[in-house]
Amino acid sequence: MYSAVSWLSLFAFFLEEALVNLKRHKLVTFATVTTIAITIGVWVLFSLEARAWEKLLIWEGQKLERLCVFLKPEADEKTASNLAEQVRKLPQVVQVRFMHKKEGLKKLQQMFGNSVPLEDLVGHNPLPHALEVTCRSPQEVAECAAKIKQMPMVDEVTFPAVAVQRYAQMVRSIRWRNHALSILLAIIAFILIFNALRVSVYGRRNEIRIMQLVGATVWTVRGPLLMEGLLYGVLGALVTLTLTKLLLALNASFPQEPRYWTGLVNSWVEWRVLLSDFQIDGFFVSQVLLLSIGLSFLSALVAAVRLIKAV
Amino acid sequence: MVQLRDVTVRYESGVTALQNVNLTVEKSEFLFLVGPTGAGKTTLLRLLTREIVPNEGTVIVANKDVTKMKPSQVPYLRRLIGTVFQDILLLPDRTVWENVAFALKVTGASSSEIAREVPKALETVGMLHKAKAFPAELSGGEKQKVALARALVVKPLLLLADEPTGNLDPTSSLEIVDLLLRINRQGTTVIMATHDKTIVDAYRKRVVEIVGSRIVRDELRGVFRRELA
Repeated sequence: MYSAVSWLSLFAFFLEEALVNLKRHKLVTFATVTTIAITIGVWVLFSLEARAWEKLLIWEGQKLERLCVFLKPEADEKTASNLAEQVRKLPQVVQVRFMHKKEGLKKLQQMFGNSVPLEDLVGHNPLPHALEVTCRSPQEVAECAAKIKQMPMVDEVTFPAVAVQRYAQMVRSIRWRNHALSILLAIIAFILIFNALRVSVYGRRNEIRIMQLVGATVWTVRGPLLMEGLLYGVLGALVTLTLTKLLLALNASFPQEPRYWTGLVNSWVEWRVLLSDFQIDGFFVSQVLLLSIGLSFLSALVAAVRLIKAV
Repeated sequence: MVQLRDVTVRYESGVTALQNVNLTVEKSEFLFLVGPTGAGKTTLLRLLTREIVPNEGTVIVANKDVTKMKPSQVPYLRRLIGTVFQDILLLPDRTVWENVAFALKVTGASSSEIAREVPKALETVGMLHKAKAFPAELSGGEKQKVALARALVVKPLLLLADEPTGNLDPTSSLEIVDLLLRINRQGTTVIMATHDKTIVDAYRKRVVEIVGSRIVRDELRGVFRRELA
């Protein structure tokens, strides 16, 4: 059994051995740390992109609870007001707003741009009066729409749920694609770390033989290798955080001209959408550290168990 | 200290390395293990460090049955045994001090223990003055002395030396054997496998001869046989 002093001494020994080895194989160390940084960096970009899409979804999602009730052309303001009262009594409804057909035309005019005056073109306002109804939740919109449709003087009820649901589906598929690519990258990084550690074991074969002969336990022999994996992870995380900080600084240095970046779904995503209100906080740092160290330590653990056996 | 009872070792290739070997080595004894190349000397030493396990028979080291030992217990057995080889395993990028300290560090020794024991071991082999030198700056004999210091620093009960003078000039060889004898006089059991007739004949210690995987001779004050030379 080891005492606390022994554990401390062993920890210092592992650290010393791992550092010696990182220095001994500088090129392998550089390649491994770069791979980890790229893996975690791509994951960071994916996260930013997913966050941007989610933001858009949340923005669009605000319309999910809304539906628009178009009245028949012959319905006047009084009829609309009566209908609004009826709709307001529905249990699913939280708010009803009457939209005069003049307001509707104004909105439509804005959508088409102000260059062509629609009223002049048609000769009159072709739009009916409408009600903007807000339901308690998106799940209740369809049921609510069906009830309103049954009411007198109602011509049509529209709601954007289907479009938004498709949008949400797309965001989900983007997330899945990101997960799949992240896993693929992690596997590549895992293999590279494993091979770097294989080189390390080969380079340290004399140390390993001596350690085994003088009575080091198998986990003591594996210790420097695990520490090496841990250091790869820490270095990889530091490189990723530094690069992220540089990216943010770069973004901040172009405040006037927005820069564009082609997202991996061939969509144009504004840098500012990706990076706006993003900052390197404690949560982000801990996520990067955890991912980077977790990945490299897991790889080191597998390498240590597979490459260094008890003899 | 060491007991081998009806030990047989067969390698996977089918070669029988040792057959029905019986040997007892008492505490503080010095023993020369002689025999032609491939006779089974190294196999016998590797049995004692439990690098290999016999197919038949029992191996007892320091009252512990090595054959029934769990793998997790093997490191603790090895802490009782010092080993020195012909191919001197020194770490080239570390000083003499660091090479010796390495054996203590891997067993979790504290820095104060290392600072106390390393100079003692280097002093015993007469290499304290070269503590800061790197292996490349040392002669073959000096390197072997450092390897011996590394084996001694853990204060072993049993010292195994496999052809420790194999690559050394006669003067260095005698120095190494003198050192082994001195260590033996302090109570450490020493088993030395060797091909060196001069040394075996000069010291007249117990000689065990292995030929064709069997022990064919065990003499208390033996000599090296002419036909082996």
